[in-house]
Amino acid sequence: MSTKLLTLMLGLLMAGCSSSANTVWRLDQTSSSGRYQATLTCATPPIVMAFQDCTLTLTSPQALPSDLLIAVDGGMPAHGHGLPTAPQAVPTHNPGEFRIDGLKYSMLGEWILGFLLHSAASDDKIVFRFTL
Amino acid sequence: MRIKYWLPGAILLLGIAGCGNKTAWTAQETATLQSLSLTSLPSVNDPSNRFAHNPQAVELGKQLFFDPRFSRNGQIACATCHRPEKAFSDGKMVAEGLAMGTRNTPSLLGATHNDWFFWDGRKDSLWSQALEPLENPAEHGLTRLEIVRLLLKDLHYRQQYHALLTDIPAPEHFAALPDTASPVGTLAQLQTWKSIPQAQREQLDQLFAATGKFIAAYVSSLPLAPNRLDDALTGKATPTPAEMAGARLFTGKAQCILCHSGAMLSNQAFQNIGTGTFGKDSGRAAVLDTIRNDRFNCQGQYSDTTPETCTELQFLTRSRHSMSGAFKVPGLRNVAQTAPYFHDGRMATLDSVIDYYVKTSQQPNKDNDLPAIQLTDTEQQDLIAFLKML
Repeated sequence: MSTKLLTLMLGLLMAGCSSSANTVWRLDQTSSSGRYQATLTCATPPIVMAFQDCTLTLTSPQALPSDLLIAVDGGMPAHGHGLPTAPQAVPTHNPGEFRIDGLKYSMLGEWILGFLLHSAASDDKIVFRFTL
Repeated sequence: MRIKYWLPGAILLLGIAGCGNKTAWTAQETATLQSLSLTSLPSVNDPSNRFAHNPQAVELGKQLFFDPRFSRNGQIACATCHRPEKAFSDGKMVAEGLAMGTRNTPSLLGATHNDWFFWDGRKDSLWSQALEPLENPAEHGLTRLEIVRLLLKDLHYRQQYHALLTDIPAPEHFAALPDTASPVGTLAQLQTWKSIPQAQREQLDQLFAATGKFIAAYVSSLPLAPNRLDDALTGKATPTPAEMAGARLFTGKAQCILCHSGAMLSNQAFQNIGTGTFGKDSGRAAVLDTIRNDRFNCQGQYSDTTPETCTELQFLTRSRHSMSGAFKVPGLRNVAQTAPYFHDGRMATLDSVIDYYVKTSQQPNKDNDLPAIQLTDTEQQDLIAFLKML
């Protein structure tokens, strides 16, 4: 039996189990104060044991504070542990866009990913909830 | 090429599942188990060690690994605790070198795939890990200066070091220095180390780091043989009903796969399963600063890569609180051959390990990361049957 035929057979057998082939994964959320609309966009759906390629984009009817700092945190509420790494939100050249570096998940299950938005004028937060 | 070997087995299992045999793994179960097989193992890449795949370095590393002269009493080699006949562990509760240690000796088979080394992950590369026992007073117990002197005075080693490093000092270069000196030894040894001119200290560090890289090259070359699960997934073995049931528990009800995932059966993370000892051993939390300040870490001057490629180190968590009591999730390949278990070897058998998880996870007000795990006696035995496949 050729490898091609074997692969075809396996593909047919597995077809019912596989999810759709998303190339971009996106979540939208409003900040706690309602001031910001946030979009989390990733190059792939989240997976465990690999660094994620994600971007946070903030929009607001008002201009974003020039001194805005963003801290990233998260974890699994059901297990009581946090993220395995300490990711950072790094501003890109695009206004309101932040590259999320160093983001990793350690296991399947329900996760929260939070962003604390700090500026001299106000503090705010955005919390995404999702299941791997 | 590998796909040719596992596909027939996978299709056979899927076919069996389609025939309504309740003891066979379903397609989804098989796909999940496939993620634990050697076919899912990524290739090794440690850019911090330029000798990692060098055949000469592998051969030299093997000689160093088995050489007991690199110890205070001339009787302790790496292989004293990492014994080949025990999957490169030692079967003891905690390591025994010059003195009793505090941690269980892990298997080295597949260790090259780890992100972090030692139970608390205080080293970020296999080569950096290999250095520490040489200077640990409870293990090999030598100082850095003694180790380098021994290497340079041994003609056989000197020739090999010269071939790989091209420019090494003659033994006489360090002749005027005192007998012992190390930056991690006793106060006297530390004072002596600081009295050595910086240029010579860096030469010593360079040769010391290279020694770790050679040993790591050998350890990285150790073959990881397929286990019974790999064989079952490639159609070379037929799992028993207990093993099949155990696999379902491992990936389902018992939730083992949450942490013991991937081909090495470890998510490479640090979890608190309630085995830390308050005030005595807080695991990962105690070493977060040590890792950053380690002169032999991925971003240090003796690493063979650029700092920006050291992603794990760059994004190392800074939260001691979140890491308190956490230890590295060990890989489970060859787990039946590597008793006793846990970071301090407190569990003698797999039965006691499973019993611990079930009881600890159900404790009220528990201070650990474990989800509730409920298993009957039969399920516990099935789970152990599966673990023995690994």
